[in-house]
Amino acid sequence: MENGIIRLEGVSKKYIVGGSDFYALKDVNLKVGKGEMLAITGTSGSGKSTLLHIIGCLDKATSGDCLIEGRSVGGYSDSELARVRNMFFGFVLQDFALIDHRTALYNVEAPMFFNRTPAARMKKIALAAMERVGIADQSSKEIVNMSGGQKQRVAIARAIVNDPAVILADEPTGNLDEKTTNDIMDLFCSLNNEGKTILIVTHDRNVASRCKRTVSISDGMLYESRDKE
Amino acid sequence: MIKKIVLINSVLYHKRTAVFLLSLLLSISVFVIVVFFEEYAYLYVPYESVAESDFLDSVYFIGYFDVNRSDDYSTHEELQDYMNADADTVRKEISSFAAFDSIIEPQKCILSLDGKEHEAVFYPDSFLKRISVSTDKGRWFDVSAETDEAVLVGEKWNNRSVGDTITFDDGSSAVVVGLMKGNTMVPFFHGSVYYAGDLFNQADGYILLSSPSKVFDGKTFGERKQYFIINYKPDATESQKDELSYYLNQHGTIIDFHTVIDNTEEYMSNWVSIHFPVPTFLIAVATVCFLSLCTSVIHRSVNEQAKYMIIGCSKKKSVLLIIEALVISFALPVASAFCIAINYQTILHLLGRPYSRIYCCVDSRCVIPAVAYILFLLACGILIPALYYSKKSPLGLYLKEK
Ligand SMILES: Nc1ncnc2c1ncn2[C@@H]1O[C@H](COP(=O)(O)OP(=O)(O)OP(=O)(O)O)[C@@H](O)[C@H]1O
Ligand SMILES: [Mg+2]
Repeated sequence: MENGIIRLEGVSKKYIVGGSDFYALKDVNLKVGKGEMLAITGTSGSGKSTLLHIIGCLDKATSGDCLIEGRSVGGYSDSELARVRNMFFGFVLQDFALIDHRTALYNVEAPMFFNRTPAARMKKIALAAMERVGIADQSSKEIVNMSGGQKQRVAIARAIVNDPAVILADEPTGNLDEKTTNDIMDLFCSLNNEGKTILIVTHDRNVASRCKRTVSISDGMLYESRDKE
Repeated sequence: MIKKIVLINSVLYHKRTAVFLLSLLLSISVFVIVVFFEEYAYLYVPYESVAESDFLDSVYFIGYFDVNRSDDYSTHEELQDYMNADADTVRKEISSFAAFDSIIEPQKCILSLDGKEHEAVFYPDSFLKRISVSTDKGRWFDVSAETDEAVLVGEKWNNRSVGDTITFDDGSSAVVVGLMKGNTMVPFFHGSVYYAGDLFNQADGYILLSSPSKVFDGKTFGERKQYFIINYKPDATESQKDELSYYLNQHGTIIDFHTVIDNTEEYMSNWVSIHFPVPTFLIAVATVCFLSLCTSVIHRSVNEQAKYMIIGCSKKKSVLLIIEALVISFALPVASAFCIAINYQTILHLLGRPYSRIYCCVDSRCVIPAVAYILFLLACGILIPALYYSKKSPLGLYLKEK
């Protein structure tokens, strides 16, 4: 993993809260290799989501550099960043970020609206992704009428529909029971076995333990935990 | 393309009823503005022609209709003959008055062209020198022209163009110098007059010609002769004019063109005060609704747009999507309302209500306010989302909210 698929160099994120500076991330350095499965742990408010957003080009670092496949995204234009989000990353965010009053199928098709996938093929591709996460039978259900675990799967199907290199998951098992958590983790493991790089933010020690590597954040600072095995 | 339609639909999805109702309201408003100005043009176009004409020193004579003697005549024709005879007497006798210079009157007759009969109006040079009317294509008559000229009015003449020579069935011919749309106000100067519009006629299918000309020679003219303009001698004194007026007033009524102008101005200002409030109110309501709906569509779609941005929509695409949604959902209905409004009379005509005589006339200036309003709507539809996005990004708002 010489250069890593993702590399953060001295990344800081500053917010101005009540007139004074607040650092959500402080001088974070991180290197993620291709095909890695990485858990990011930390207490609530420690900066895990912020880190994931910066890696995923959803947010910009205040200082420092974020490199994707060796190229700094600092100089990317808005549409280049959008393209990276569309093709390179798949997101499973903490609140799922699904479009509520639309069907599961619409949500899974949505990433293909923003690339060159022919409109006629979108449904087939989306259904294949839903099949993969075991939710194809729910495709015509509206998101508002779905359970947490179902939404989670829809979010994962949406994340993989464009066949991205990296999946970023923020608390993907947050409110799920143990059985469902295990199913979801099985899914991530199998995706990882197919060569996808996976970053999972989690509170759950069991979830973290299924990842090959764990880093933890505390007060915006990143600590490398021991490599497993 | 399909993707775009789906995305545009998703922008409007939550506000679809409001968007539908508002686009209806905007369409009605645009229709109302256009029709308002068309109706105003019906008053204004003749007013302008008369006010700018050289008739202001002349008077218009309206032959007297003697109510007391109307019982003596059993048929309309008999009555008309009597009135024409009276008018003929006036025409003869006025030449002896010192103030009298000439009679100016457009003449009407039926001309036969390609086996079909058409109504025609001949304008003498003395008339054409004093008044000018704008045409939609080509020009109005040129009194110095050597050839006989014709201006054709109405959609009936769509197959003719400026420069064509039309040859009547009697062998005489004229060159088409101008074309006017149907229902345009054409100077007629025939009938009782209160305001300038009375001097004009909404002529459809007419052939207008300059006279005297070869076409004019030997034609017999309309039966009603008791309306004409009397031109005073330039050096006539007031008392000479009074003498003539006194005579004319015994045989009919005279109205001078200053009075016509004053009456028209009064009539127009009354008309405006009655007809202006409704369109203004409608436009004001529609505009306020439009501005608020634009912002509320943006607000409502922020969350969804943020989600699209997460999965690969750029800020630029997102703002374009909103602009397109706003422009398309309002532009199409408004544009069709506009087209219907400017072809209002033709459409009514096609629907089988010819000559229900709608008091409006399409002048190119009528559409300027409506076009300006549509451009304003368009600018708002573009600027409001652009300004919103320049201040905030949906994605930024979304991440902050969490
Ligand atoms: N837009 C913002 N403005 C100000 N402060 C912010 C903003 N976004 C995040 N923060 C702060 O940054 C810190 C890190 O937030 P972040 O969401 O990354 O935490 P987290 O580790 O994901 O927590 P959780 O486990 O609860 O999701 C928090 O203290 C939060 O209050
Ligand atoms: Mg978080």
